[in-house]
This record gives sequence, C-alpha cells and structure tokens, in this order.
Amino acid sequence: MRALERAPEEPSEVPELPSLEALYDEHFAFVWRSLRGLGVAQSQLDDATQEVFVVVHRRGEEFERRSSVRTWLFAIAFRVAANFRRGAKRRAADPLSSELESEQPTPEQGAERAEMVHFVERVLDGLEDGQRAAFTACILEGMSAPEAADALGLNVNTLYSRLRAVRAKFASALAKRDGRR
Amino acid sequence: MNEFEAIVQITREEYEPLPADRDRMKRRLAATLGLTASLAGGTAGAAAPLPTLTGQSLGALVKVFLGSMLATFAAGGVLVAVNRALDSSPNSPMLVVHRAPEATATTPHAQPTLADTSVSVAPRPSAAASPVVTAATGGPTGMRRASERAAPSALGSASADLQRELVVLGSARQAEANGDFAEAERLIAELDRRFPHGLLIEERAALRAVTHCEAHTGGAENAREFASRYPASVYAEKVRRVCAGAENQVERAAPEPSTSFTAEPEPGD
Repeated sequence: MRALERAPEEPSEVPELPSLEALYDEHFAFVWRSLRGLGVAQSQLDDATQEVFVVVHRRGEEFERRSSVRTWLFAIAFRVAANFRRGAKRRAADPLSSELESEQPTPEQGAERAEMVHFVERVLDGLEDGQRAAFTACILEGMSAPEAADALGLNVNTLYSRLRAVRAKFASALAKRDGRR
Repeated sequence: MNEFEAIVQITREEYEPLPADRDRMKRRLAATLGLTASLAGGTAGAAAPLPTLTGQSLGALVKVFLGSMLATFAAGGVLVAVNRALDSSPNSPMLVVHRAPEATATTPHAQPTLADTSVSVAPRPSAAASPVVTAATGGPTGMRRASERAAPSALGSASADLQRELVVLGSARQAEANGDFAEAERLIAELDRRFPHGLLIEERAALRAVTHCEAHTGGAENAREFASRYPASVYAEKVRRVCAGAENQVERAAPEPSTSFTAEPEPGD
C-alpha cells in the first residue's frame, strides 16, 4: 500500500537531444558517408550535408526519442538524398551533365581502389532506391536491421529481403566483371 | 574477407570525409544558421539545446541573402566568402560579417540565431566612394535596424545593387544546375556587364569556372584563374572537383596532354 501512496514516478528523464554542435561533431561523418552511399554526387555533397543539418536545426523539436539520433539522421539524409537525386535526374537531359553526376575516379585515388569504388557505384546506381538505402544503412554504415528498418519506415523482413537482393546483385555484377577479365 | 566485403570496406574508406570537409562544412553551416559563436568552432563541447528555426528566422535567412537561390552553390559560403575582400579592386565594396559575442560560461544558451543577424552597408575605409556591406548580429530588431541603416541613398543603392546582383547570380546558378549552360554563361556575362565591381565576384568566378567546365568551353583556364586568385576560397574544392571530373571526361574522349590545374599524376602512375 505504501508504494501505492507514492506519487507516480515521472517518466525517467527523457534524454535531451544534443546541441547542434554536438550532433555535428559526432555525426557529421555518418551523414556525409550516408549521403554518398545514398547516391548524392560528390559535387552536391556539401549542399546535401548542409541541408541535413539545417533540417536537424529546424526540426529538432520533432525528434522522436523512441528512435536513436542516428536513425533520425539517416531518415533525414534519405529524404534529402532523394531530393538531390531527383535534381540530378532533371539534369540528365544533358548527357554531359548526367555523366558528371556519376563520379569519376580522381587522380589521387589508387587505380585499383578507384576501379573498385567505381564498380560499387555502378552497381549502386543500378539498384532501386530502397535497396540502395538498405545497403547504405546496414552494409556501409553497419546499422542494425531494426534500426535501419525504423529509419526507412519498413518492417524488418522487408529490409532483409532488400539486403538479400542487394547481395545477389553484387554477386552477379562481380561474376560478370570477373568473366570479362 | 571475401571480395564483396573488401570492396565495401574500400568504399567505406573512400566515402570518409576529410578533416577539411568537416571544417569547411562546419564554417558554412555556422554562417548559414548564424550560429557563429558555437558552430564556427569557438566553444567545442558547450551543449546548448538544439535551437529551432522559426518562420520568422527563416524569413531573416532570406533577408540576409542566404536564401534558396544560392543554397545549392553559394549560400553556405557567401557570408564566409564575402567576409574577405571579394574583389581585389580597391573601389569594390565588400561584405563584412560581424560576429556576435561568444556565449559566456554563465549564458551557455545565448547563441545568436538567424533572427539576430542583420546585413547593412557601410563605407569601405580606404575607398570613400565605395560602400561596404556589413552583416551584423544583434538583438531581435537586427533586421529592422538593417533596413533603417540602408535608408540613406548611397548605402541603400549599394544594398539594392547587391540584391539585384544576387538575383541574377541565383538565376545563373539555377541555369547551371538545370544544365542550361548557355543561359548560365549569358547571365554571368550580364553580371560582368552590370556589376563589374560586384560584391559576389568570387561566387561569380566560381560559377563561371564550373559552368565552363561542365559545358567543356574552356573551363580549365577559368578554374586555374580561380584557384590562383582565390586559393583559400570555400568554393575552391568544388571548382577543382568539377573541373577535374570534366577534364577526365575530355581526356577519355580524346587523349591529350593534361591541362588540368590539379590533375598531377601520382608518382608511379
């Protein structure tokens, strides 16, 4: 009975969303890499990264603490990347311009590494958006399946199914590439 | 490690941002959001709550020339970039950002927001006839004060010129983004004609280089000139990247000796 008389406990303190600076310091690289993985062209990366953090700044109060900050950031990055990809597609009317969107290896990269990255990006460009997002979240960024599913608004089984499809496409692309050698 | 894991690992490494990317973006974000005291790097670890950008402050964002027109190219860097003398001409005006006082230990949440940021015009000390545009941070009435300061004719004229220049530059940027390089070049030429000593010379030069590189109309020369004139520009990396990529394409199409201003071959290549 004594316990019943006690005032109900306040829900334990909801963790504060860190400051923008703290978020930036901790998650900048994650956001940057995620946007790359999600198909934002190198030349648009600054703008897309900025947009993510502007959204974070503007929508901080909308952050639902049921998910992790990383999940929330990835969901924002996913939407921002989709906008940038749509912009890139609009530019695709110009073949030169569209070619620029697919990254070319830079002279600074070792030839073999550059070739590998170029290969990955060609495969990623051939994936559906949802598959690409699943690859970026789980394989590139190492997010757990539930975390990635939450960020992408999917159920976990759908996410697993997309990951299987991605692996199959990579296996097929690798086999095709090796067959050409 | 199988091949798939190997290429994923390499991709992950290649996607990793450089420290310069982190610093550049931090400065740019700070300039855009007006969070100079914190994000610009002065108060690492000061955990102020995440501020929100209200509709009013978004309006201020537009008014301080960080609106959507240049958002994809110049917006983030405009205050930073134009904080330096953009035009080497002694008669050209320049934009100066007045940083807000840093938040003190007793007022950790006192970061300025966009609503506290204003832009005004003031004369350049060394050139009496040329105006200087000044962005200042202040209280909530910052924008009102800015408009009041802009009222005198000479200052108001410079401010209006800046707005007009920004509009044309934004249109040029939009044309470039849409792949309409001829229109972008036409608008850049119009900027040259109408604003020979404009405030946004550096942005214009960067856009000119990028446009010419994308259009394969002699961009390498523009890129070299840009790199030489603005070696510390926030746009330098973007110009280098776009122009190097465009040049690679040209080289693949018709192998010629490289004229890229950055594409020095690696030793052993």
